[in-house]
Amino acid sequence: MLRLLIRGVTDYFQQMSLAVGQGWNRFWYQPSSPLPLVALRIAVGLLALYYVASFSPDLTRWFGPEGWFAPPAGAGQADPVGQWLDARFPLGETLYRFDDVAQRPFPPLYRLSYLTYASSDWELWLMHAAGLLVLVLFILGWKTRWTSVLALVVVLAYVHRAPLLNAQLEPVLAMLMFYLALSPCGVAWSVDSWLAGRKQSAEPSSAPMPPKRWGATVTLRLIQVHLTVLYALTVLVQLSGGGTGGMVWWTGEAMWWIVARPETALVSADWLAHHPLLMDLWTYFVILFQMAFVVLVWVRPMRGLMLALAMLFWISIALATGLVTYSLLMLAGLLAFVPAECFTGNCPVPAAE
Amino acid sequence: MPSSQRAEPLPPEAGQEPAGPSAQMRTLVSFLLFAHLFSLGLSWTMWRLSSPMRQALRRFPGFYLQLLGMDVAPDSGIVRLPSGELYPSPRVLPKSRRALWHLTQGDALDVDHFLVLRDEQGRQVQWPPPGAVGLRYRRYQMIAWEMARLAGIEDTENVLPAALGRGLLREAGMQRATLECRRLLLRAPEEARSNDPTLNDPYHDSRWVTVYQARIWVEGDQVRLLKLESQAESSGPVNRASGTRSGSPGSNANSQP
Repeated sequence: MLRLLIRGVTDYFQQMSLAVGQGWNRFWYQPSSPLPLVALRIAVGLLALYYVASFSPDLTRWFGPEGWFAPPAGAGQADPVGQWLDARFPLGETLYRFDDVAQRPFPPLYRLSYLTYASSDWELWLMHAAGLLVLVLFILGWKTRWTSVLALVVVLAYVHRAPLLNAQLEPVLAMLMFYLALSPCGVAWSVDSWLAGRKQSAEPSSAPMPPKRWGATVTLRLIQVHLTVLYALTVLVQLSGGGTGGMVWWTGEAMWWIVARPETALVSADWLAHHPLLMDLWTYFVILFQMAFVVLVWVRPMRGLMLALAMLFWISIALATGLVTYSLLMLAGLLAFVPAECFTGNCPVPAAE
Repeated sequence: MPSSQRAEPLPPEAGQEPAGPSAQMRTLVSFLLFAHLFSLGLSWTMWRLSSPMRQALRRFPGFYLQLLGMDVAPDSGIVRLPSGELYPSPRVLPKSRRALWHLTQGDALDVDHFLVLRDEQGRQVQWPPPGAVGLRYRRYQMIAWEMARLAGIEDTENVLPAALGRGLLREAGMQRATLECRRLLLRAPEEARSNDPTLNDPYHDSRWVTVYQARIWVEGDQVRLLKLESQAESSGPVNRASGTRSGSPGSNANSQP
């Protein structure tokens, strides 16, 4: 009797282990089409190009040898303010008492940026132009295996050069560029695929879809998981309240305090002030959508609805906050959830999946 | 765990689908996936560290994430305790080390801030500069935010002005000047609905608060800085749209005090 019981328990755990292993393998390694990654390459690449190009009007002001973030003579630091902040808040530590860390040496930093090696304005401009060129080649898909990694290096150079300037956009952009650098994102709609097609046949390839790859699945899943967690974290932080304003995401006031910033909002706060119910609904839509997205985007029949709502959500966030590039980037990230067939005009009907 | 011994190799589907990776490759990639997701998990869950062990646990993957530009804390840095107390102080945590995805917490720092440099001849320069929009505007905002956040903390509030002072003075073509960090307070919905222009005007002088003020000049290689007492209210900075000062003669009549 006891032996049977032990065998039953053992069998159960063996089967569970097998099922978990198979589920893991199916989730991460089932080959899939790289077309969503190709679309991501173009969309995220364009936004990365804009991100880097947007430094142009202030390039020497920020990073030049005589710029705001230039190291003081003989200091040997590329970004004294960033170094100071990192020293006091290394790696996310929260240190409440400055006297504890007044004597603390700078921790080792892994904020690598080739821009720190620019010793003159023209060298800086040369590096800037080279970075822009790399991003253009990445978007076009020329030697994508190499340019994807170089494009990541370019973006990180600007992210790391002056961390003080970073906000919502940079961690998401760095994340997407990192995953794209690992992915086969240049197998279609690229100079690489055009050249490969020319080599193989005089006639252009008629195959609408590039072959499925397990490497595409791994990177698509990483982007999907990472983005879902970002939505979850965002809504948790919003609902955790705090701030001198109180629990604004609970009371429905949050969207007002965003739209009321006259320098950034793209919609009229005056108009919204006369529609308090709309203000509340907008706030609760933001919260409820994010909560729903975290779960329902993984439910195949609901995915289309979630992506449609996400469009509405991010357009509304862009209008309220003026964070247009960030909103576009988050929208671009959603391409990872779009079925590959949609990119060839054959979107599957949810019920048929 | 998804070990290669336990799971069957992935079969090709319908003779058309390519096969998955080999068992050895799956083991290697699964290990790397686990390490990456574990690092991210730590950064997402351990941004408030209390014990040395938790700090040490957070530190190692922190280097990896720092290299990739992903070492941001996702929280706002401000928590309201059941007692109503804010914990920790909203001033202590750097804004730029926070992802800021929550967009607002209705906090005093969740508003626009400006840097204003003015000399004794009455010349003044403002950042964000007129015409800066989008990413450009936001970068200047982050600097002004950081200065506002540090204002009032005795041993740190001068760090940022001192570090940026030389560049600011050179940019403005000034030898010595007064540096101010100005906060533009927001209207409540009732104020926006009001017909009273002093309440309705989002740029009215009464909305401007100086959170940091210092005399700044350069002596040799050193930036000298003398902190002044912040004023609760002062004249408005450059109007971004018109280039004139709100509250000054010739500007929008609604801006007059």
